[in-house]
Formats: sequence, C-alpha cells, structure tokens
Amino acid sequence: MFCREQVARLSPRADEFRALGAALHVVSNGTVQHLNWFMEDTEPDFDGSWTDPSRKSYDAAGMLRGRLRTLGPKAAAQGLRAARGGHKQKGVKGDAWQQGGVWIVMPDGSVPWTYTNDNAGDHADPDTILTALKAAVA
Amino acid sequence: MSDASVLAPLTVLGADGAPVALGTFWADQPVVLVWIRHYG
Repeated sequence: MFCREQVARLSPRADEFRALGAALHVVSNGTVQHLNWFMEDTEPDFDGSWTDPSRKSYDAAGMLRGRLRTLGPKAAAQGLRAARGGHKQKGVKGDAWQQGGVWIVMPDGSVPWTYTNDNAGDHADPDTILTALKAAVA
Repeated sequence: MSDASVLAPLTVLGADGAPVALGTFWADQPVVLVWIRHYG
C-alpha cells in the first residue's frame, strides 16, 4: 500500500517537476511483468517507470533493507495512515524488505539532495522534494 | 555524497524488458530519481 500511496502523491505533481526542467523517474524491483501490471493499474504520469530486479541500484544508492523496517511499529502506524487514505496493497511484487528513497541528480552528475526511507511507510513528501529541486536548479 | 557516478553504469529495465543505463536519465536535464519499495 505504501508504494501506491507514494505514487499517488507524486504522479499528480509531475508537471511541477517538469516546470523546473527536471524529469521524474521511478524505479521498483519487481519483474518486468510486475512493472507492466502496476503501470496499467495506476497509470502514473512519470517520465519513466522502471524496474531493477537485481536491486543493484538500491544498494549503490544506500537504500535500506530489513524485515523490521517493513513490519516494525513505525511502519505499522504509517500503514494505518495509508489505509485510511484508500491505498490498498495488491500483493508483494518485488522484495518485501527493500526500502526506497530519492536522489536529485544534476546533468554534471552531482547529487545535491537525497532522501533515504527509514521504513516502509516513510517517504519524502513531494513538497520537500520540490523545494530541494528548486534550490538545486536556482 | 557528491556524485552519481556509482549509479550511472547500472541498468534498469523498461516495460519492454530492455535495459537502460541510469546515467542516461540525467545526461540532458536534472532528474528526480525515486526508488519505491515494490510494485504491490
């Protein structure tokens, strides 16, 4: 449900990222079939939707992974928030213990801002990402 | 953390299953790269 919540919060804001000259790409870690299913089910307005079944990019970006990060008390509390928001999980299509995050990357390869999710229900607020992006492109 | 060189050569798969290097995403413009947990 958390991935759906995150996509539902980001997708309507995609034009705000584009207005700042940036592209919005989203990576998950299921199979290509999972990727296609999710795209058909959610129709996200991203510049790219991808999958990394190897999770090498997660590891390289320092994203966290762990059972307690998915099933611990913080995630449980945030699960109530997501459920109340109407975000229903439809199975686990990828690594259940893998957490995500965000990097802003500039054309010169510099990385002015990152966010590493602490647990399953933790993800960067779109307003926070946009504020960081505005500062990066200023 | 100062650069994305660690990520640039890594590949992700598109809807057609073809691999694409992450570095191509920011070759011409800034990119917001979001890793989500899984497709569920």
